[in-house]
Amino acid sequence: MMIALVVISLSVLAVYQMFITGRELIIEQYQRRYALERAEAWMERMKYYENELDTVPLDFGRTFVDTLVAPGDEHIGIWAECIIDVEHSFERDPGSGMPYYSTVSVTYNWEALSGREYSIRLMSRF
Amino acid sequence: MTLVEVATVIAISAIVFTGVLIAYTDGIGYWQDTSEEFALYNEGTMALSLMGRFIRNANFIRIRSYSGLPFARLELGYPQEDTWSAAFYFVREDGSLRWNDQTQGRNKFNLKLLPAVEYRQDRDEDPYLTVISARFTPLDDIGSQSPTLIGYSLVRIELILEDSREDTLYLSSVVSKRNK
Repeated sequence: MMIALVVISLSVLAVYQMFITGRELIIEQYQRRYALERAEAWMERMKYYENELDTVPLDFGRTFVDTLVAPGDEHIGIWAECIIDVEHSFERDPGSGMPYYSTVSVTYNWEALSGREYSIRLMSRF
Repeated sequence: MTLVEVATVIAISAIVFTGVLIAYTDGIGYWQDTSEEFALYNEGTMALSLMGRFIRNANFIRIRSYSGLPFARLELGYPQEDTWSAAFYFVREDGSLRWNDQTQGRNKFNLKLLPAVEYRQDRDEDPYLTVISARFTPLDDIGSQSPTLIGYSLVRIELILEDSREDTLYLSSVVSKRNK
Protein backbone atom coordinates (compact mmCIF):
# COMPACT_ATOMS: atom_id res chain seq x y z
CA MET A 1 0.00 0.00 0.00
CA MET A 2 2.80 2.41 0.95
CA ILE A 3 4.68 1.62 -2.26
CA ALA A 4 1.53 2.30 -4.28
CA LEU A 5 1.08 5.64 -2.55
CA VAL A 6 4.70 6.62 -3.24
CA VAL A 7 4.28 5.74 -6.92
CA ILE A 8 1.00 7.71 -7.16
CA SER A 9 2.56 10.68 -5.35
CA LEU A 10 5.48 10.73 -7.78
CA SER A 11 3.03 10.59 -10.69
CA VAL A 12 1.10 13.56 -9.29
CA LEU A 13 4.36 15.49 -8.86
CA ALA A 14 5.30 14.68 -12.46
CA VAL A 15 1.91 15.92 -13.75
CA TYR A 16 2.22 19.06 -11.65
CA GLN A 17 5.77 19.65 -12.95
CA MET A 18 4.48 19.20 -16.51
CA PHE A 19 1.81 21.83 -15.88
CA ILE A 20 4.34 24.29 -14.36
CA THR A 21 6.79 23.79 -17.25
CA GLY A 22 4.02 24.26 -19.85
CA ARG A 23 2.92 27.47 -18.12
CA GLU A 24 6.53 28.75 -18.09
CA LEU A 25 6.94 28.01 -21.78
CA ILE A 26 3.73 29.84 -22.69
CA ILE A 27 4.77 32.91 -20.64
CA GLU A 28 8.17 32.80 -22.34
CA GLN A 29 6.42 32.78 -25.72
CA TYR A 30 4.54 35.94 -24.67
CA GLN A 31 7.90 37.52 -23.82
CA ARG A 32 9.34 36.35 -27.14
CA ARG A 33 6.35 37.83 -29.00
CA TYR A 34 6.90 41.13 -27.22
CA ALA A 35 10.64 41.09 -28.05
CA LEU A 36 9.75 40.47 -31.69
CA GLU A 37 7.28 43.38 -31.61
CA ARG A 38 10.00 45.65 -30.18
CA ALA A 39 12.58 44.50 -32.73
CA GLU A 40 10.14 45.05 -35.60
CA ALA A 41 9.45 48.56 -34.26
CA TRP A 42 13.19 49.39 -34.35
CA MET A 43 13.47 48.01 -37.90
CA GLU A 44 10.48 50.08 -39.00
CA ARG A 45 11.99 53.19 -37.41
CA MET A 46 15.19 52.60 -39.42
CA LYS A 47 13.08 52.18 -42.55
CA TYR A 48 11.48 55.53 -41.74
CA TYR A 49 14.94 57.18 -41.52
CA GLU A 50 15.95 55.58 -44.81
CA ASN A 51 12.74 56.82 -46.42
CA GLU A 52 13.10 60.38 -45.11
CA LEU A 53 16.90 60.85 -45.25
CA ASP A 54 17.79 58.31 -47.96
CA THR A 55 20.06 56.57 -45.45
CA VAL A 56 20.08 55.21 -41.90
CA PRO A 57 22.43 57.35 -39.77
CA LEU A 58 25.36 55.38 -38.34
CA ASP A 59 24.72 56.83 -34.87
CA PHE A 60 21.39 54.98 -34.83
CA GLY A 61 23.42 51.89 -33.91
CA ARG A 62 23.44 51.32 -30.16
CA THR A 63 23.40 48.71 -27.39
CA PHE A 64 21.07 49.09 -24.43
CA VAL A 65 18.92 47.21 -21.95
CA ASP A 66 15.19 46.94 -22.72
CA THR A 67 12.33 45.56 -20.63
CA LEU A 68 10.16 42.85 -22.12
CA VAL A 69 6.81 43.58 -20.54
CA ALA A 70 3.72 45.04 -22.15
CA PRO A 71 1.76 47.80 -20.38
CA GLY A 72 -0.89 46.23 -18.17
CA ASP A 73 0.59 42.79 -18.73
CA GLU A 74 0.54 40.44 -15.77
CA HIS A 75 3.68 38.68 -16.89
CA ILE A 76 6.84 39.60 -15.02
CA GLY A 77 9.21 41.96 -16.84
CA ILE A 78 12.44 40.53 -18.18
CA TRP A 79 15.59 42.50 -18.91
CA ALA A 80 16.87 42.02 -22.45
CA GLU A 81 20.00 43.25 -24.17
CA CYS A 82 19.16 45.05 -27.41
CA ILE A 83 21.84 45.55 -30.06
CA ILE A 84 21.09 47.76 -33.08
CA ASP A 85 23.73 47.64 -35.77
CA VAL A 86 24.00 49.89 -38.83
CA GLU A 87 26.65 49.56 -41.54
CA HIS A 88 26.86 51.58 -44.72
CA SER A 89 27.96 50.16 -48.05
CA PHE A 90 31.52 51.02 -49.07
CA GLU A 91 30.36 52.15 -52.49
CA ARG A 92 28.73 55.57 -52.59
CA ASP A 93 26.57 57.42 -55.06
CA PRO A 94 29.00 59.78 -56.84
CA GLY A 95 26.29 62.42 -57.19
CA SER A 96 24.97 62.65 -53.64
CA GLY A 97 27.86 61.05 -51.79
CA MET A 98 25.33 58.84 -49.96
CA PRO A 99 25.97 55.13 -49.46
CA TYR A 100 24.09 52.90 -51.89
CA TYR A 101 22.60 50.85 -49.10
CA SER A 102 22.67 50.27 -45.33
CA THR A 103 22.86 46.85 -43.71
CA VAL A 104 20.83 46.98 -40.49
CA SER A 105 20.09 44.46 -37.78
CA VAL A 106 18.31 44.34 -34.43
CA THR A 107 19.20 41.63 -31.92
CA TYR A 108 17.45 40.88 -28.62
CA ASN A 109 19.11 38.52 -26.13
CA TRP A 110 17.54 37.59 -22.82
CA GLU A 111 17.37 34.93 -20.16
CA ALA A 112 13.94 33.88 -18.92
CA LEU A 113 13.24 33.29 -15.23
CA SER A 114 13.49 29.55 -15.88
CA GLY A 115 17.09 30.03 -17.01
CA ARG A 116 16.34 29.34 -20.68
CA GLU A 117 18.20 31.68 -23.00
CA TYR A 118 16.50 33.31 -25.98
CA SER A 119 17.77 35.35 -28.89
CA ILE A 120 16.07 36.87 -31.92
CA ARG A 121 17.73 38.75 -34.75
CA LEU A 122 16.11 40.69 -37.58
CA MET A 123 18.33 41.79 -40.43
CA SER A 124 17.74 43.67 -43.67
CA ARG A 125 19.38 45.83 -46.28
CA PHE A 126 17.79 49.23 -46.97
CA MET B 1 -3.25 -3.12 9.73
CA THR B 2 -3.34 -0.87 12.78
CA LEU B 3 -5.45 2.25 13.22
CA VAL B 4 -2.31 4.42 12.85
CA GLU B 5 -1.51 2.82 9.48
CA VAL B 6 -5.08 3.37 8.24
CA ALA B 7 -4.99 7.01 9.34
CA THR B 8 -1.63 7.52 7.61
CA VAL B 9 -2.87 5.99 4.35
CA ILE B 10 -6.02 8.16 4.42
CA ALA B 11 -3.94 11.32 5.12
CA ILE B 12 -1.50 10.62 2.29
CA SER B 13 -4.35 9.72 -0.06
CA ALA B 14 -6.07 13.01 0.79
CA ILE B 15 -2.89 14.96 0.00
CA VAL B 16 -2.44 13.10 -3.29
CA PHE B 17 -6.10 13.61 -4.25
CA THR B 18 -5.86 17.34 -3.43
CA GLY B 19 -2.74 17.63 -5.61
CA VAL B 20 -4.47 15.94 -8.54
CA LEU B 21 -7.53 18.17 -8.13
CA ILE B 22 -5.47 21.38 -8.02
CA ALA B 23 -3.37 20.37 -11.05
CA TYR B 24 -6.56 19.48 -12.95
CA THR B 25 -8.56 22.64 -12.20
CA ASP B 26 -5.57 25.00 -12.58
CA GLY B 27 -4.54 23.26 -15.77
CA ILE B 28 -7.99 23.45 -17.38
CA GLY B 29 -8.39 27.09 -16.33
CA TYR B 30 -4.99 28.04 -17.67
CA TRP B 31 -5.56 26.36 -21.04
CA GLN B 32 -8.93 28.12 -21.34
CA ASP B 33 -7.29 31.50 -20.60
CA THR B 34 -4.55 30.81 -23.10
CA SER B 35 -6.87 29.64 -25.88
CA GLU B 36 -9.02 32.78 -25.49
CA GLU B 37 -5.89 34.96 -25.58
CA PHE B 38 -4.84 33.21 -28.78
CA ALA B 39 -8.17 34.25 -30.32
CA LEU B 40 -7.43 37.87 -29.31
CA TYR B 41 -3.89 37.56 -30.64
CA ASN B 42 -4.98 36.13 -33.99
CA GLU B 43 -7.64 38.74 -34.65
CA GLY B 44 -5.49 41.59 -33.26
CA THR B 45 -2.53 40.76 -35.51
CA MET B 46 -4.89 40.40 -38.48
CA ALA B 47 -6.15 43.96 -37.83
CA LEU B 48 -2.59 45.30 -37.33
CA SER B 49 -1.50 43.66 -40.57
CA LEU B 50 -4.38 45.23 -42.53
CA MET B 51 -3.80 48.70 -41.05
CA GLY B 52 -0.04 48.34 -41.67
CA ARG B 53 -0.64 47.58 -45.34
CA PHE B 54 -2.79 50.71 -45.74
CA ILE B 55 -0.27 52.91 -43.88
CA ARG B 56 2.69 51.70 -45.97
CA ASN B 57 0.91 52.61 -49.19
CA ALA B 58 -0.38 55.98 -47.99
CA ASN B 59 0.93 59.35 -49.07
CA PHE B 60 -0.63 61.39 -46.32
CA ILE B 61 -1.31 60.41 -42.73
CA ARG B 62 -3.13 62.35 -40.06
CA ILE B 63 -4.36 61.46 -36.58
CA ARG B 64 -7.45 62.91 -34.93
CA SER B 65 -9.70 62.55 -31.90
CA TYR B 66 -12.75 60.30 -32.01
CA SER B 67 -15.43 59.33 -29.49
CA GLY B 68 -13.98 62.05 -27.24
CA LEU B 69 -10.60 60.31 -27.18
CA PRO B 70 -7.37 61.79 -28.54
CA PHE B 71 -5.35 59.73 -31.05
CA ALA B 72 -8.34 57.45 -31.72
CA ARG B 73 -8.78 58.03 -35.47
CA LEU B 74 -6.22 57.47 -38.21
CA GLU B 75 -6.86 58.98 -41.65
CA LEU B 76 -4.93 58.05 -44.77
CA GLY B 77 -4.68 59.67 -48.18
CA TYR B 78 -3.43 58.06 -51.38
CA PRO B 79 -1.96 59.33 -54.63
CA GLN B 80 -4.47 60.08 -57.40
CA GLU B 81 -7.30 60.25 -54.90
CA ASP B 82 -8.58 63.63 -53.85
CA THR B 83 -9.86 62.76 -50.41
CA TRP B 84 -8.84 61.03 -47.21
CA SER B 85 -9.52 57.62 -48.62
CA ALA B 86 -9.25 55.33 -45.62
CA ALA B 87 -9.87 55.85 -41.93
CA PHE B 88 -9.52 53.55 -38.92
CA TYR B 89 -11.23 54.58 -35.70
CA PHE B 90 -12.02 53.28 -32.22
CA VAL B 91 -15.67 53.38 -31.18
CA ARG B 92 -15.63 53.44 -27.40
CA GLU B 93 -19.41 53.04 -27.06
CA ASP B 94 -19.49 49.45 -28.36
CA GLY B 95 -15.81 48.51 -27.90
CA SER B 96 -15.07 48.07 -31.60
CA LEU B 97 -12.46 49.14 -34.12
CA ARG B 98 -14.04 50.25 -37.41
CA TRP B 99 -12.88 51.58 -40.74
CA ASN B 100 -13.97 53.39 -43.89
CA ASP B 101 -12.61 52.30 -47.26
CA GLN B 102 -12.92 54.72 -50.18
CA THR B 103 -9.84 53.54 -52.03
CA GLN B 104 -10.10 52.57 -55.70
CA GLY B 105 -13.69 53.70 -56.02
CA ARG B 106 -14.95 51.66 -53.11
CA ASN B 107 -17.41 53.50 -50.89
CA LYS B 108 -17.64 51.38 -47.78
CA PHE B 109 -18.20 52.96 -44.40
CA ASN B 110 -18.33 51.87 -40.80
CA LEU B 111 -16.91 48.40 -41.49
CA LYS B 112 -16.17 46.47 -38.33
CA LEU B 113 -12.53 45.36 -38.13
CA LEU B 114 -12.55 44.17 -34.52
CA PRO B 115 -14.25 42.07 -33.36
CA ALA B 116 -14.27 40.45 -36.77
CA VAL B 117 -17.40 38.38 -36.16
CA GLU B 118 -20.33 38.32 -33.76
CA TYR B 119 -19.93 35.21 -31.67
CA ARG B 120 -21.16 34.23 -28.22
CA GLN B 121 -21.45 30.78 -26.75
CA ASP B 122 -24.68 31.73 -25.03
CA ARG B 123 -26.89 34.79 -24.78
CA ASP B 124 -25.60 35.96 -21.39
CA GLU B 125 -21.94 35.55 -22.18
CA ASP B 126 -19.76 38.61 -22.74
CA PRO B 127 -18.42 39.10 -26.29
CA TYR B 128 -15.38 36.97 -27.06
CA LEU B 129 -13.45 40.15 -27.97
CA THR B 130 -13.90 43.75 -26.88
CA VAL B 131 -11.59 46.58 -27.90
CA ILE B 132 -10.72 48.41 -24.67
CA SER B 133 -8.44 50.92 -26.36
CA ALA B 134 -7.03 51.70 -29.79
CA ARG B 135 -4.51 54.48 -30.09
CA PHE B 136 -2.52 55.86 -33.03
CA THR B 137 0.58 57.78 -31.95
CA PRO B 138 2.84 59.70 -34.35
CA LEU B 139 6.52 58.92 -33.77
CA ASP B 140 8.14 61.23 -36.32
CA ASP B 141 11.28 62.61 -34.72
CA ILE B 142 13.01 64.27 -37.64
CA GLY B 143 11.82 67.38 -39.42
CA SER B 144 9.95 67.16 -42.67
CA GLN B 145 12.35 66.88 -45.58
CA SER B 146 9.83 68.19 -48.06
CA PRO B 147 7.62 71.29 -47.79
CA THR B 148 4.86 69.38 -49.57
CA LEU B 149 4.81 66.58 -47.03
CA ILE B 150 1.53 66.52 -45.13
CA GLY B 151 1.04 64.84 -41.81
CA TYR B 152 3.04 62.03 -40.30
CA SER B 153 5.29 59.28 -41.61
CA LEU B 154 5.76 56.92 -38.65
CA VAL B 155 2.86 55.68 -36.54
CA ARG B 156 2.57 53.37 -33.55
CA ILE B 157 -0.69 51.44 -33.34
CA GLU B 158 -1.59 50.16 -29.87
CA LEU B 159 -4.51 47.85 -29.18
CA ILE B 160 -5.77 46.62 -25.82
CA LEU B 161 -8.22 43.74 -26.28
CA GLU B 162 -10.32 41.97 -23.67
CA ASP B 163 -11.82 38.48 -23.83
CA SER B 164 -15.03 37.17 -22.25
CA ARG B 165 -13.09 36.22 -19.08
CA GLU B 166 -11.93 39.86 -18.79
CA ASP B 167 -8.30 38.99 -19.48
CA THR B 168 -6.58 41.65 -21.56
CA LEU B 169 -3.96 41.48 -24.28
CA TYR B 170 -1.77 44.38 -25.41
CA LEU B 171 -0.59 44.47 -29.03
CA SER B 172 1.43 47.14 -30.75
CA SER B 173 2.95 47.75 -34.14
CA VAL B 174 5.09 50.57 -35.54
CA VAL B 175 4.61 51.26 -39.24
CA SER B 176 6.13 53.84 -41.58
CA LYS B 177 4.74 54.92 -44.89
CA ARG B 178 6.91 54.14 -47.87
CA ASN B 179 5.92 57.11 -50.04
CA LYS B 180 7.44 60.56 -49.75
